[in-house]
Parts: sequence; structure tokens; C-alpha cells
Amino acid sequence: MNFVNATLKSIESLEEINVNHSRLHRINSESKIISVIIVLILMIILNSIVSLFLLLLFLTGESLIFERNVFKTWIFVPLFTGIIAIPAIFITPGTPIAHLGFIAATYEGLLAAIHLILRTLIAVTCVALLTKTTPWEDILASLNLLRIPEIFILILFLTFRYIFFLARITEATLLSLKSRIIGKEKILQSWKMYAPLVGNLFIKSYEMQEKIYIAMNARGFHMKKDEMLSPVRVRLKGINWGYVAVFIFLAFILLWTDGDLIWMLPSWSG
Amino acid sequence: MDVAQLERVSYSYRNSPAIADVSLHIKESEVIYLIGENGAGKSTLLLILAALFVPTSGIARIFGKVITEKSTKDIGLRRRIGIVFQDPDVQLFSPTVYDDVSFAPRHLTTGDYKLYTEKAMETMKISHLRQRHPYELSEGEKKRVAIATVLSYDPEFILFDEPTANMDGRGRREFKSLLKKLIDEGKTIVIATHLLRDIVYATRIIGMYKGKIDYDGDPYVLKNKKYLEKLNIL
Ligand SMILES: Nc1ncnc2c1ncn2[C@@H]1O[C@H](COP(=O)(O)OP(=O)(O)OP(=O)(O)O)[C@@H](O)[C@H]1O
Ligand SMILES: [Mg+2]
Repeated sequence: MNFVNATLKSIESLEEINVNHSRLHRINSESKIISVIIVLILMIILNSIVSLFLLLLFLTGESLIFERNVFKTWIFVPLFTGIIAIPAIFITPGTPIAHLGFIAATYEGLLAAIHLILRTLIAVTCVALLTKTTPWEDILASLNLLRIPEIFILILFLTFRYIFFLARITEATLLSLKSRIIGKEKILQSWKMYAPLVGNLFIKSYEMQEKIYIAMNARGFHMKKDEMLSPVRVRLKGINWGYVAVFIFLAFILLWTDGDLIWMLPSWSG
Repeated sequence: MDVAQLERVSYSYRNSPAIADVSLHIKESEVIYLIGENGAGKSTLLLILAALFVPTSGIARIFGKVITEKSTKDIGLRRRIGIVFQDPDVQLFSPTVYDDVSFAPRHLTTGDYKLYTEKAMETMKISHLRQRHPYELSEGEKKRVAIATVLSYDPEFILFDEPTANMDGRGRREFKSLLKKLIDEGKTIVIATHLLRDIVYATRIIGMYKGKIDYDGDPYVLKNKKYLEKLNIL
């Protein structure tokens, strides 16, 4: 259960905004969102492990300088990637590099797994950099100013709350399950009990989501621009081009070299 | 003008009826307690009075406005109504207590939202919790924060769903004096509860039974043990 707890903690910490203002807090949220979009696009289209690694290195540097709390969120990468990445090492066809009984780990599988982990780390780091240095209301307002359709913003917002509620409900449910397991039951048996729980969790969190939406409505949250952003808060400070330029430059370099870097890996000769 | 007028209102959740054929008038400055057993329909009735649910049949007028899907989002109406939900986990949805208390002032008030926020936090004695996450608070603390989120925009019609559930002795006493203050300010108040000993300052009692209004009248009914037993709340 320790692993579950650690994951919950790191999901929670993704939401935690750091109140100690760093220089990154002062950069307006529109600029930060644009840079996140650039990074996410790069994450999708870059092919070479080396360029993905360089991108991660850049984000790590940014986090080291401005917001070290970002690294707390790395704990939860293994949960999402492990499930997919570890089997990928074995099921991807290619040159075998190690044998584990009947199955073999392949070089191509290993590359695929590294790709996946790098991509996840990049996504998690850049989103954490944004959410830890920007109040979520500012993020929503900026998305609105950037003309992202309102329905997407609403879905994004509810997803944000939903992940957290799912985590919290999971925690409570696991505890309640634990409290009702008398004595030491076999692990297999307790796994059998988990299955219907998962379905239950989804129903619960779905109902919760509906209710939260009503509660938000009660306090004036509507997805109409003029109403959602009260006059005090609409202040498009202009995009901070200096900050965005760094990312555009980075994108330029990485896209330029990506094709070359893809050959830089040693080929496996067992 | 009446604060709320319900004419033969019914409400069903996906085919399961929760309240049926409820007619009710609420005047300014009334202090009404809704009593009834679990599942009697108290919370549902409050959500209708809060102009958040549209009746499945019948007509609900709140501050003179007929409640439709559109008017549930009417900002003018929202400003005048406050509801404290039964479950604070539903009510509190922001990352920090401060964000949550300042949510409504940001959307619903003119002027400096910070002043409203500070005042509400002071009234509910939660200023020290401002940077905490709402979900890591104790149940009693959550309830205080939930009440603060509503006081923060000073609505004139306030609905409380089980406000003192989970509160300790001091919390309940403080709620009582808050109630006194709100009454002195002339607010219209409806409180759903099954904690009979917490009922104070009532001007009217509404007893609910199986989704219907079974009693609507003066608070003397609280002395009628036989009746309270029939409602299953004694
Ligand atoms: N979200 C929902 N979906 C389906 N049915 C619901 C839902 N919420 C309430 N109900 C049903 O509607 C009826 C009235 O519920 P309501 O919550 O209004 O009762 P209540 O008087 O507030 O009860 P309690 O004292 O337990 O809070 C109940 O029969 C309940 O099962
Ligand atoms: Mg209820």
C-alpha cells in the first residue's frame, strides 16, 4: 500500500501551488501556457531519444532554477508508465539482448520503453512547472483569452478536480477495505475484491463530478467569458515574448537536429 | 415580495422521485427549519429553493423569477442566494482554503474581493487555515470553510443543509451566534436538520415525510413527541 500512498501524494502535489514566489510566478500565465503547448508538441513529434533527452534536460534545468518542488511529481511517473513500458520491453519484436526464462527483452523494446518514460517525464515536468507557479483560475482565464473553446476548458477543469477526487476516493475506499479484512487473508482473495471496487470508484467519482459542477454553479462559475472573468481579473498583460522566445528557439534547434540525432544511437551488436 | 414560491413542485432523480407535489411560500426574514427522516427529501428541496435544480414538474419562483435551466445560471439570482451543501467535499473544490473562500467574491461581487474573503474567514475563525488544502481538513473544519464560502458574498437568502453535523460543542455555539447575527441583518434562512436540540430562533417548521410536506406551521410542533415519532426523527 506504500506505493499507492506515494502515488496519491504525488498526484496531490501536482495540484499544490507553491506560494513562495519565484521568478517564474511573475511570468504571465499566457506565456507559460504557450510554452507548455510548444513543449507538448515537441514531445509528440520528436523522434530521437537524444533530442527528447535534451528537452527533458532543459526542463530539469528550468525546474532546478525556479521551482524544485516539481521533482516531487516524478514519483508518479512509474505508475502510469510502468504498466505499459515494462511489457513493451519484452513484447516489441527485434534483437534480443537478454533472456528471462521463455521471454526475451529486445533492444527495440528497450528503446520504446525509454521513449515512453522520457515523454511522460517531459509532459509531467512541464505541466507541473505551470501548475505550481500559476493559480488555476489564471490558467483557466488565460486559456479563455487564448480562444480555447469553453467546453474544453470546462472539461479540463473538471478533469483536474476529477483526478484528485478519484485519488481521494481511492484512498478512502482502500482504507475501508483494509478495515474490513479480518486477519490475514490471502493476497489473491484481496485482489478479487479490488475488481468490483474499480467500477464502483468510477460511478462514485462520476456522481461527485456532477455535484461539484452544481456547487460551482451555486457560486457563480459559468463558462461565459464576461461572467467567468470578473473585471479585476481580466488583464492581458501581453505575452512575455522573451520567455516564449526561449522555447521557440529550443523547438527550432531540436526539430532541426532531430533527424540527425536519431542516428546517434549505437546500434546493438550482441 | 415572496422570496420563494413553489407551486406543486416535484423532482425526480433519473426516474426515482425525491419530492412530490410541494407547495410553499417563503417570505422575507423567515427562519425556517426543515425536519424529516433520512431520505425525506430535505436536501432536494433546498437545491430547488437555491434555484439550482429545475423542478421536474410544477413551478418554482425564486425572487420572482421562474426557475428554468437558463435562470439557474442567472448571475443576479446567484448573488442573492447562498447554499451550504450537506457534504463539504462537494462544496469545496479549490486547491486552497483561501482560493475557495475567495471564489464567489471573485465571480459575484463588485469591489475588492480580498476584503470580502478576509471578513468571511474571520467570521468563521478559519484565517489560520488559509493555505491548507480543503480536503485535508477535519470534517468540522471543512464545514466552517463551507459556511465561509457562502458568507463571503453576503447573500440575502441563505440555505443550510445540516450545518452543525460534525461540529463540536463550541462549533455549535458559534453557529448559533452566527445565526443570530444573520437574523439581525434580516436574512431569510432555511435550515435542514435532524438534530432537534440544535433548533433555535425558528419562526416556522416544515416537516417532510417521504417527499411530501407533512407539517408546515409554528415551532410548537417540536413539543409534540407523538408527531416527531411519526416523522421518525425522535
Ligand atoms: N443523486 C441522487 N441520485 C438518485 N437519487 C437520489 C440522489 N440524491 C438523493 N436521492 C434520493 O432522493 C430521495 C431524497 O433524498 P434527499 O437527499 O433529498 O433526502 P434528505 O432528506 O436530505 O436525507 P438525509 O437526511 O439523509 O440528508 C432519497 O430517496 C434519495 O435516495
Ligand atoms: Mg440531506
